[in-house]
Amino acid sequence: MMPAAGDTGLHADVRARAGSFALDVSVSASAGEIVAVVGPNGAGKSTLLRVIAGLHPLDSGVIRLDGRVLDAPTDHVWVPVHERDIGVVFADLRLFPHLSALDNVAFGLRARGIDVRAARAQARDWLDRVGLAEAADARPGALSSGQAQRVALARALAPEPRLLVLDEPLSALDVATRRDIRRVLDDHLHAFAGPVLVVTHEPLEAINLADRVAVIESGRVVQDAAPVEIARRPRSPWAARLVGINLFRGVASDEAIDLDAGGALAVSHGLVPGTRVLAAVHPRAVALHTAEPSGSTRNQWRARIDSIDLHGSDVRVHLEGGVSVVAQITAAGLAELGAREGDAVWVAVKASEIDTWPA
Amino acid sequence: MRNRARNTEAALPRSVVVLAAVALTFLILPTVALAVRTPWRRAGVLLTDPVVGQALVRSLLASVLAAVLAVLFGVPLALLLARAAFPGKAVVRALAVLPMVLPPVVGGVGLLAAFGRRGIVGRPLEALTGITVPFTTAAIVLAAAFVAMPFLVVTVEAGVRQHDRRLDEAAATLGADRAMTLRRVVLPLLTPSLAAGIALAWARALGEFGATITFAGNMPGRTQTLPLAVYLELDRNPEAAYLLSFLLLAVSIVVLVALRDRFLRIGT
Repeated sequence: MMPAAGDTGLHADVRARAGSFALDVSVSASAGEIVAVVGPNGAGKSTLLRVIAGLHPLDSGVIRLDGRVLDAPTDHVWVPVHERDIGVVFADLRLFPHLSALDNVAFGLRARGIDVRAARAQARDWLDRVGLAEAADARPGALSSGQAQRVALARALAPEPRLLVLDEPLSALDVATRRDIRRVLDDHLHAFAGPVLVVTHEPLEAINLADRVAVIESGRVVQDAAPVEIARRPRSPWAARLVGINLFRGVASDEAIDLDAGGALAVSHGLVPGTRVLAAVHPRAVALHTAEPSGSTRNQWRARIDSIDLHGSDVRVHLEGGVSVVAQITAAGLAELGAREGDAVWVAVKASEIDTWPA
Repeated sequence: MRNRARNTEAALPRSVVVLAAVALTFLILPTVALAVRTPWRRAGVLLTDPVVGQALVRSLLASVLAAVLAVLFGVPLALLLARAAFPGKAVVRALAVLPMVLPPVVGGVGLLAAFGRRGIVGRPLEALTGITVPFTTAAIVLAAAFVAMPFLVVTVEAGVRQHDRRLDEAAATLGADRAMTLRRVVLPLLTPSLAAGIALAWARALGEFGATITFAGNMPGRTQTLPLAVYLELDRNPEAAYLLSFLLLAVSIVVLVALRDRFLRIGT
């Protein structure tokens, strides 16, 4: 279990169960790297975090941090939670209600054998760094949600853990506080020397904060890439919906894709027939017409308007029937169309507007 | 609230109100009578009676020691009952709290059977060390601890069950082992339950009669406690008995007030 030279950061190869739910993911993060773990609620993100921290049993796989094996069921290795050196900011914070903000932050330092006075001095310094020096003597019950979040962050950072994990650090906050805490997180996560894992169900948050994003759906990693890549070429409908593009899965034939969900889309570039592909259509590339378009557009079908919502100065029109897509048009365009929810319209997408990549 | 209370009252038949009034009078009357009959002006003289004074000191000392024993061993037992899973746990809990419903004199006989000179533990203990327990001050403490500890155990166990274990997880991620988590997170948050348990156990220990007279005897100047003195003085010196009774009553009231959040506000 000697740390191997060059083996730094977190490597987690996790297979675990939570109720009837199976988690099977590999996640790694190097020193100084911020990795966001995103995915819909119930995808297994928090379970992954709990397994890494040692709070949930690992069925098989291995968790290694800076070359030290923390968990490897087949080799009967299991480092208890309190010896893992992993700082956790819980979604529900879990500040100790009977201790002042200062003593909450000093707790981890005390646990490492630092005497009361030195631990308090360091804790005061950490509170100062998160901008909370004045609330040192307050009990958690007297803190605002933003202040409590800062205390939780300072408490996790103070013992200088090897790995920092944060579970939904912004979800319990109102919009104004969220902006505030995002800035605090941004500063401190980037200053942190070890790897950072941030669990969130808000991909925009992840894209803003992280160096890399791992998208988890139904217990599996569906994409692990740089934020730009996730935004440009999402590999899951969930991520696509959140970055605002239409995403389809299907099997390529020569210059078309047979979609898994039914229907087909023609593309303007050659594909390897028989391979599985992902196809993206930006909502702005979806045109709507009242009558059948007479142009050369190869992709056109009739659909019913399911719903219309405002999107800045534009409107997003959700269409059902044919290939179900979202179209983004201007408010003026909608007025010209004269269509309302429930009406039937013609949908057209130019083949050249469809981007594809291997699934 | 006011309207609802009035409606409830109006909804009760007159017979219920009358019977409730009888119950209340019956429960309050002895306390009032005790206060009325207590010879306040002779209190100083009566309390300086050496037999009474010794009984008072002995009772305070024994009840405090019994409470200390109850905390020392009862808190771990409460933690075990609340946290550990083992076969037969329900039976173990029932046996542990049995002294709460056991007639105290039966408890005393049981203690004699265990720690008496011919008891299953008492006989080898005397053979090995020459120590005999019954009819000593130690016996008073043991009898009091036997009847009092279950009160502490059930109170603290309820507190442990309410403890938020997510805080223990947080403590572990901060590097705290089980001992530190217990010391710095669990026990501090148990303070209200612990205080209530100590108050109940101590009050029960102070008032102990049946097990004490059976196991420790009633020797004035040696093993006579306050409740035993009250019983004995009732024949010899009723005034002293009234005064001592009122003293014990005052202690009970103080304990009840201290525990008001637990017992006086139920349903309000």
